[in-house]
Amino acid sequence: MPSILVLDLGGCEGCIASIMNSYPKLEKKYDLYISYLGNLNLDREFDFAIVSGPVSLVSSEKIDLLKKVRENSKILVAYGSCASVGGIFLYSKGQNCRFASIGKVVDIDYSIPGCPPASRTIINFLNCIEKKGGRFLELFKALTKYQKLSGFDLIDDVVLTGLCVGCGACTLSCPTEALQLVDGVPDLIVEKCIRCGTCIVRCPKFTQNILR
Amino acid sequence: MMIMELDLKKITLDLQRVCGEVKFLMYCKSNKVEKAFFLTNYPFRGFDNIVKGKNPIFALYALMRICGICHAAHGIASAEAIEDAMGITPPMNGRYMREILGLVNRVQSHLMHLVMAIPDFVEESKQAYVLKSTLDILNETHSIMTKLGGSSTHPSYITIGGVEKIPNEKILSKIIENIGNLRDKYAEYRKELINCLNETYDYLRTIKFKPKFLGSDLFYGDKYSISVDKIKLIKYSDFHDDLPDVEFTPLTLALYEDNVVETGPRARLAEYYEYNNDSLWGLQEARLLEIELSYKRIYELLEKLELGEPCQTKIMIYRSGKGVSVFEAPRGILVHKVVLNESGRIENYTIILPTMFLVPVIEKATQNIEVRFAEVIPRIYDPCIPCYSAYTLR
Amino acid sequence: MFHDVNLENPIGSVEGIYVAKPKKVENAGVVTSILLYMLENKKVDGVVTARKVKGILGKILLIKTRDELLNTVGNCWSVVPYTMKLKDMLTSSNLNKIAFVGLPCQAQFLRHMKTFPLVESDFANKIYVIISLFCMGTFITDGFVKLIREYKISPEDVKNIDIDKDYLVIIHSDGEIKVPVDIVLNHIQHGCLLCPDYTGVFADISAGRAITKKGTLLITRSKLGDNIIKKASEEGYIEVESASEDEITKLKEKALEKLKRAMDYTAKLL
Ligand code: SF4
Ligand code: SF4
Ligand code: SF4
Repeated sequence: MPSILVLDLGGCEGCIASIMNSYPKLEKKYDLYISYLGNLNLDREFDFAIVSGPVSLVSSEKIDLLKKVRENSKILVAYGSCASVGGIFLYSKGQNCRFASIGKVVDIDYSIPGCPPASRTIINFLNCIEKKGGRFLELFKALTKYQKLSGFDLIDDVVLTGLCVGCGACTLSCPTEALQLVDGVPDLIVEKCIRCGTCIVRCPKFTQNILR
Repeated sequence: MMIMELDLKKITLDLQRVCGEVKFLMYCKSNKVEKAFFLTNYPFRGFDNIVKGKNPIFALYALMRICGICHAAHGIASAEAIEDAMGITPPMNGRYMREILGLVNRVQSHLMHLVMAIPDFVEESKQAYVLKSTLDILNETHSIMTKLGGSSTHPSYITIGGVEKIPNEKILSKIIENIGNLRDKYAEYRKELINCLNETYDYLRTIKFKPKFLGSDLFYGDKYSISVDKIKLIKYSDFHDDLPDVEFTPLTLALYEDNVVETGPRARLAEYYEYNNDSLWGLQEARLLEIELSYKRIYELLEKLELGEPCQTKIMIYRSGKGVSVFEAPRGILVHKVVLNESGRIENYTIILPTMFLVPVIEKATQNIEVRFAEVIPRIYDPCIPCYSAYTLR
Repeated sequence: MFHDVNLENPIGSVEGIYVAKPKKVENAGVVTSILLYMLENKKVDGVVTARKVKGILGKILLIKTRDELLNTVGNCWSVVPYTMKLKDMLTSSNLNKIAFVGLPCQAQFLRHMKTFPLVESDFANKIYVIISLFCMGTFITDGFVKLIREYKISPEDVKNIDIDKDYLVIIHSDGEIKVPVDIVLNHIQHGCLLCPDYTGVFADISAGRAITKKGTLLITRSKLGDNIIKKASEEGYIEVESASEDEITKLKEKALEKLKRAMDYTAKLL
């Protein structure tokens, strides 16, 4: 059975907990290595490494760990907003506390935002890999080139550039209801945006463009 | 104490099956632990700085993301502190809904702990089965959180002034029905669980350990029943004068009236439910009991909701002010303190986390424990490192 | 598995292509008949679709009964802003199996949401089947209304809009008119000019006007979609035949046109 490493580098563990909820389903097809089961072992190779949480730029230990995970895994997935697009940690300040999305430190194969992604996401993702393809997989691959995506980018790159068609995907996707449609045009309630990236990844206009 | 005595053996455990990661360092003599240090290399996460200068609404959503296990607790504590600073209070429905969400979250957290703790005290042959049934109840509890709070992790309906919405009649009656079923299912499960325990359980039952307790309420949290000023924060390195020479993230501990105090399920039940089990197993038993009490309480509170009445005080007052809140998070006393500046934005934020109280308790509880059982002690206190690393004295 | 469009295959992955006519209810459209079949046979417990409220503007509706459904008028030629209402509608009811009818871009994001619920507040698991209407783009409404007024057509009378080579065909109560595409393009939303998807490749069923004969063209893209069409015809709601080679070639030509347009504009606008 393919092996999966699940690791949190410094997030809230919500992403890991959500994967743990799918354990009964995952266990049938994969060997899961996760600290919640007590079988975490970083000294072996993995078919998949699912990494959540941002990487601390202060801790050389974490950076080394991440690099080691990269070396030891065939497919590395940045899972959840913190790991994929930085999330709220983009706002971290101070000398003893700096974070980045993991794609800034190592090459990643797929980037899946969501805070946290619902439990079903991991299962469907693995299914898509198994069936080798589909557009959404291409999308998650294309997202690895972005280290920051949020409602702010949606407004700047889609709405203000006049590409928005008013489909409403973004408003319906936001977990904090930070986007509202005003006369058919999305507008951001800035104080509500936690930079999870869901809205822009769902926007048909944004995805059509990055996949071209 | 001189820990470098030659006859002391040093053992370092990289603990798994806890939220986050723990380096548990023990000095042992023959087969007993003499002294333990609870350390971590988890990066310091500085949530006070993340929210500094921000609008309180952002602060609330960001602070909820301190922890993916006790998210609602942080959401509620933060909302209450900010409301205190603004001088607003939520309506009755909002208050009930918060307590409900807090308790659903408590159940989620306790069950997740159980998932991790199963290998400790469940017979090996029964572990897989128990794990499955625990996850089963957990997932059902998650879906109740999704319906009530908008999302099963980081429930987005918690907001300043109350909660954003309460379910309509149809949905509500369905949820009440579900909670009723879940309560019964859990009661069955608990009975079964007791028959699956191993020798660690027998051992823990024989170890008496009863520090001072700190609780503020059985369910919600009450800042008037403890005195927040008596909580003293102290750097981990100042607390110990015999620190081992290893790398770790400098974090902060909390004392109450200069004492090491236990907070969490057992403390709450001891102070408000006449619960009395001073063995270490009492901690886990208290947690199991709390799940049951929580389901019951959620059921009662859901029936108290007044449909059609407001659930949020929709006034935001952007002015300077100070606020504090005390909430009974799954792991115990959680304090949020906020200072708003003249434009109502966050000037200063302090978070006192249950694990800050628990770390010295864990270190104390491990003393004199047989080495082969030692790893179970930190786990039975359910420390949460994402929380612990969210704030520190600078 | 749903595949994106490309130059070799501008209509995406296909399970079957049919031309259908309504049977049971005379002047209901084919899509309405399929929805009716699903509602009456309890395949779904609700339908989310748009209704034309004024001119070419639409409003989103949650439909639970036959009568409500038959009152909904045809297609909407503007992207309907699905305000937060869709979420509210679905999360505040105990309905769990919804049929959704919309445009290709909406089919895309709902499919995305269904396959990859990126946040736990996602509600797409309540959507059972996604139906997409063919789409050549949506208009900046007022500009378009002004344009058709010049042709002496009132927006209320517009029945359907389609594209035919270099002309936009507007079918209205008294017949149809052809407007040169060059003129129309000015009033199409820029986002739509970049959209490569004519048929709605992420839907279970895509539907649009047949080209070579009278009727509705149906493309099924999943087993689920295909079964629905087969059952709906067995139960006598619609009459179905396989689409001819000629029909399919013409469909592909049309889809290719939109795709090429998208490529041109991507180069121009971005
Ligand atoms: S993405 Fe959200 S859930 Fe995941 S680790 Fe970050 S804050 Fe937690
Ligand atoms: S607007 Fe909403 S969905 Fe978009 S990044 Fe911000 S919080 Fe996430
Ligand atoms: S998802 Fe994109 S195209 Fe749709 S309304 Fe939002 S910004 Fe506009």
